[in-house]
Amino acid sequence: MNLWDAPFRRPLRILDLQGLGEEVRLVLTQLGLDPGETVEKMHLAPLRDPVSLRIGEQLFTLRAELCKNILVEEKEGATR
Amino acid sequence: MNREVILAGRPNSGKSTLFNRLASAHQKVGNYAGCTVEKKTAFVQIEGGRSFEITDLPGVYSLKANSLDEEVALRHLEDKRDSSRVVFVLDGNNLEQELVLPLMLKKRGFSIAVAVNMMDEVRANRKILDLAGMTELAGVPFFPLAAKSGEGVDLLRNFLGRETEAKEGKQPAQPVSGIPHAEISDLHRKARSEARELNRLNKGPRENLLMARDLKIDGLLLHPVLGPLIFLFTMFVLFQSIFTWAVPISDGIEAGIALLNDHLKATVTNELLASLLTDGVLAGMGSVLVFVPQIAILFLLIGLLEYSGYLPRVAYMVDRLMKPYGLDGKVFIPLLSSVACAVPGILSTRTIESERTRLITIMISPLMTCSARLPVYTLLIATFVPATTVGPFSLQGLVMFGMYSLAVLVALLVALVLHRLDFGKRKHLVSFLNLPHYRTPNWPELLRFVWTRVYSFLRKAGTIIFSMAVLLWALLSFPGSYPGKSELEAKIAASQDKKEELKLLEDQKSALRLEHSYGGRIGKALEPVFQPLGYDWKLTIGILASLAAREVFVATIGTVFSLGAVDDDTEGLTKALREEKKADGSPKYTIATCLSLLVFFAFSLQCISTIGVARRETNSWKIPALMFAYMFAIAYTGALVAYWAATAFLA
Repeated sequence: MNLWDAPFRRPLRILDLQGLGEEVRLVLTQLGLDPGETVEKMHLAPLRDPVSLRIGEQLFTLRAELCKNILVEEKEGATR
Repeated sequence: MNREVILAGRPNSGKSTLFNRLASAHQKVGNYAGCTVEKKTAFVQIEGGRSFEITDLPGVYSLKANSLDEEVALRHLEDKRDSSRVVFVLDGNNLEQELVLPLMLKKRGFSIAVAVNMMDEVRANRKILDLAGMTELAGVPFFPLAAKSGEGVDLLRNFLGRETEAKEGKQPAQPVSGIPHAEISDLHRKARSEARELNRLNKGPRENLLMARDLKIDGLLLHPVLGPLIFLFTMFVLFQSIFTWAVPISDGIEAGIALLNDHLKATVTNELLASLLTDGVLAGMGSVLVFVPQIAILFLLIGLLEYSGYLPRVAYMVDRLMKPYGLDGKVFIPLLSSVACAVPGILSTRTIESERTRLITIMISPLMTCSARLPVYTLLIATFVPATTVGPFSLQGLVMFGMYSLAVLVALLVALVLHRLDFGKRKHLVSFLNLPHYRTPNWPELLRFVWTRVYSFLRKAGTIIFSMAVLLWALLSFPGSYPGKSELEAKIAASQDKKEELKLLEDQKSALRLEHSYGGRIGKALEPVFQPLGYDWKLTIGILASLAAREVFVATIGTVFSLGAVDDDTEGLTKALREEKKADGSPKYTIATCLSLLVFFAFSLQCISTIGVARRETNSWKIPALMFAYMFAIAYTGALVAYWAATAFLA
C-alpha cells in the first residue's frame, strides 16, 4: 500500500520510493524516508492535504502526491 | 591561519541560540556573497585575550540542497573545508536521524564536533546518552548541551578555544556540493548504519514526552473544525493588535515630528534651508518613522507565533489552499509580513525551497495591502465614501475591507497566471515543512528577531524614502519663480497685519510656485497619460511623487492644495478635495475619482524600497522590472475600468 492510503498512528515500514525523480528521491531519503525506515502518519490537515508524519523524533508534513509514491507496510505487532 | 568554527544543523536545532550564547558581543549580520541569505558571524573571546570566529550556518538537512538556504550552507562549508571545525547542533532526542549528516561530512574529511542539544528534554524523557561511548566509537567529540539554559556552553567554548590555530599540513576535506547523486546515496547508506550503531549505545524508554505533548496540542490546533477557527481568531487578534497598539505610538511619533517641525520653522531663518529641513528631510524621515510601531508589533507577534511553533502549523493548514495557485503553505508568512511592508515580506521568502514558488511569491508580495497604502486609503475613503451604514457595518469600513480582499484575490490570480505560464526556472524539488516542538518563547532571541527586521526596514526604506523625499522637495521647490511673482510678494508685504488675507495670499503663492516648479511642469506634461483615469495635473503630481513611496501621496497632495503640512490635518485636505470645482461649478473630484485612485494605489508598485529589495533578492533587474510593468498595467487598466464604471453607474 502507499503511504497516503496507509492507516494513521501505526508504525509503517518504508518499502520503496516509486516514480520519483532522482533528486526528489535523494531529498526524501536524506530526510529519513529511506527504505527500511519507520514512519508514522499523525494528522491530516483540515483541508485533507498534506499529512503530518513522524520521522524519527520529529514531525514533517508531506503532500498527497508524494505520499502516493511511497510504498509502505504495517509493522506487525510493533510499537515504536 | 586562524580556524573558523561553523555551527551547523537542521533548522530548529537550537543553532542560533547556541550562537547567541557563545558570542556575547561583536555579532555581525551580513549576507553570503551574491545572495541575501543572512550570514551571522561573531568573535568568541577566550582566555589570554585570544578569540576565534564563529559562523551560524543556515539550516541544512542533507548534502542534496533542497532550498537556497541549504545551497548557501553547503557552499560555505565547501569554501572553508581546509580551515574550519564544524560543530553540529543536534536534537538529543533524535540522534539516530540527525547524526547521519555529521557522519557524512566526517567521511568527507571534515573536522567535526557534535553538540547534543536539548539535554534537559533528554533527561525528562529518562534517556541516558553514552556520550563518552559515542565519542570513542565515532572518533568525534560529543558535548552535552542545553543551549536555552546555557548548560554545557562553557565546556564547548573551552574545547573550541584550545584549537584556534589550524593544524599545519592537514589535508583539506573533500568537496560537499555538487557530489554525484550515486555518491551521496552511498555516503548516506554508510553514515546511516553508523548512526544506528552509535545510537545503540544510548539507553532509556522509547517514549518521547515532548512529542506526546506536541501531538496533544496538534490534536486541538490542527482539528478539522477547531483548527481553522482558532487560526481565523488568531489572525483577527493579530490585525486588531497591529492597528490598536500601534496607533498611539505612531501618533506620539507624529506629534514629536510636528514639534520639531515647528521648532525648526521658528529658529531657522533662511527660508530655503528651513523648507529643506522641514518639508524635505523631516517629512521624508517622518513618513518612514510612523510605520515603525506597526512593523515592530507585527514582527513581534509573527515572531511569537513562529517561535512558539504555531506558524509552521498555519503554513501546514493553508498549504492545500495555496496548491491550485502553484504555491505552498510557506508563502503564508511572506504574504502576512507584506501586510506590514513588502520589504521584510520579500526578505522572508528565502526559506521557500522551490525557486519558482519563491519568485512568484516575490512577484505578488507587493500586492498585499501594506501599511503605506493605509494613509492614502484613509484619506480617499474619508473624503468620498459617505459615512453611512449598511446593516450593522459602516460603509467606509466595508470599502476598506474590500480593498484588503481585492488585494488577496488579485495576488492569487496573478500567482495562478504565473504558475500557468510556467514562470521562472522550474527548479522545484520537495515541498515539505518541519513542525518543530511547541515552545515558550525565548525573549532575548525574539527581541533580536524584531530588532533586525525593524533595523533592516529603517535602513533600506529609510535611506531610499529619505533621499526621494529630498529629491521631490527639490523638484517641487525649484525654480521658485512664477508669473506675477513680484506683484504677489508686494501684496504679501503690504498685508502683514491682516491675518486672513495674508494666509490666503500665502496659499496662493505656494500653489503658484508649485504649479510652475519642475515637478509641476512634469505633472502638467504627463496629465494626458492620467486624464483617462480621472486625474488632473494636481493628482498626477501626487501619483508621480508617490512612485517613490505611496504614503508620499498624502503629503504631496497637501502641498499641491497649498495647505502646507497636512500630516496632522487630513480634515483640511478632505475639505479641499471635496470643494475643488470644475469650470462649470460641479465638483471636480467624485466617488469615481476616489475609486479610480483606490484601485490605482492597490495595484501599482509605487515603492522604491520594494524594487530595490526585489533586485537584491533575485540578483537581477529582470524581476523588479517585470513586477513594475505588470503591476502598472493592472493598476492603470483597473483604475480606468473603475473610473468609467463609477462614472456611468454611480454619478
